[in-house]
Amino acid sequence: MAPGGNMAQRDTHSNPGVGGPLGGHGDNVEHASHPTARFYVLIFFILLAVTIAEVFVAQEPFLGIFEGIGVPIAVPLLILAAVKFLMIAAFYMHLKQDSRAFSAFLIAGLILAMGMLFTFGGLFTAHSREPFDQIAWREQLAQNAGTTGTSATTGGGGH
Amino acid sequence: MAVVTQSADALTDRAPTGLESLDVRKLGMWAFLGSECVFFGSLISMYFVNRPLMFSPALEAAHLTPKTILNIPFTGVLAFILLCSSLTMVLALNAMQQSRRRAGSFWLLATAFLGMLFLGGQAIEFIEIAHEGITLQNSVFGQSFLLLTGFHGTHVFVGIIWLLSCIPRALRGGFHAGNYIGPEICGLYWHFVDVVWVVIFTIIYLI
Repeated sequence: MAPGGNMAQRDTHSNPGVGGPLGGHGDNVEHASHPTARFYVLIFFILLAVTIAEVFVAQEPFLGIFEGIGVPIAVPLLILAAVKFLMIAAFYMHLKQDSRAFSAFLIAGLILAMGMLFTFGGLFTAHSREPFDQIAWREQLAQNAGTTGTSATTGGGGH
Repeated sequence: MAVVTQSADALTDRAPTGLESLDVRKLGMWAFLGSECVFFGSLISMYFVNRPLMFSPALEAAHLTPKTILNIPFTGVLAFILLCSSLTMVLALNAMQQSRRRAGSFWLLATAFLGMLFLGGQAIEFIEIAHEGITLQNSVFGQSFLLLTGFHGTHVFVGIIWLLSCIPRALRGGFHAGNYIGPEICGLYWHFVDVVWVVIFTIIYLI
């Protein structure tokens, strides 16, 4: 079951096969052995266990336990999500055995996304905002319009 | 002249090394997935920015906060379905790599079916939310939630079409141990859709 032997070879595409991957025949030139179906099923059960743990952590009594010890519930949930993310990317998307160039594209995208998340978070949530009250906003608009109208009339009368 | 000929020979005969040895189709897919990270990152950022507005005292009094509206056990089942589809996808690729075309086609079909099941569940969820009176037009939560999960659902839909389009060629034996780049790239896209749901499920539903 241990996949180590199957997955030890990094960058399997760099193996200079016949014609190479750019040879135009649409053929894969990987000659390394692939993880077995049993290995993928094992990964699935680990992912399933993590998903069940996530759902339980988000409910009582675990929610209360984490709040009791002063840990925001987001912390364990984000750790569990990160574990799932990494396992799917590494084993199901084969990043563990593929070229690091592929990982670089994903990491670059993730860095940009995280940067955007923190930037917008900093910009828009640095100060608490009141929920948008559409009725009050319309009343304010009407009031402003009335004031402007009055001043315009007054201004017009003056001339 | 001799030098030119020698250089040309060197260009055509030498074995590809480093980045040249990578499959450009796979590289292109990873570049696309990197850009997709930014796309979903922007939608998740929008949800986060709007999140404080979803928990006003008035909304909490009316039980219209995300915590009260969203059905977490039901969404947990949807997450399970998508996780199962990731397994079937990787089993499909595994079968193709061993030239087992019937098994590969079966697992591709199973993946597409699970994707449809997920979309059906998402449709039920959207209908339930609409019955609560929440739409794209009338609430910040509706806008943020439906846009994010709707775009994810659209990606699932595209993935299903892609999977179904692979099946006829798989049945004809078009994918085998020497050529499985088609289902491999399709699988990358499908697993990415699953990974995005992992993030959405945690951030939107659980936190």
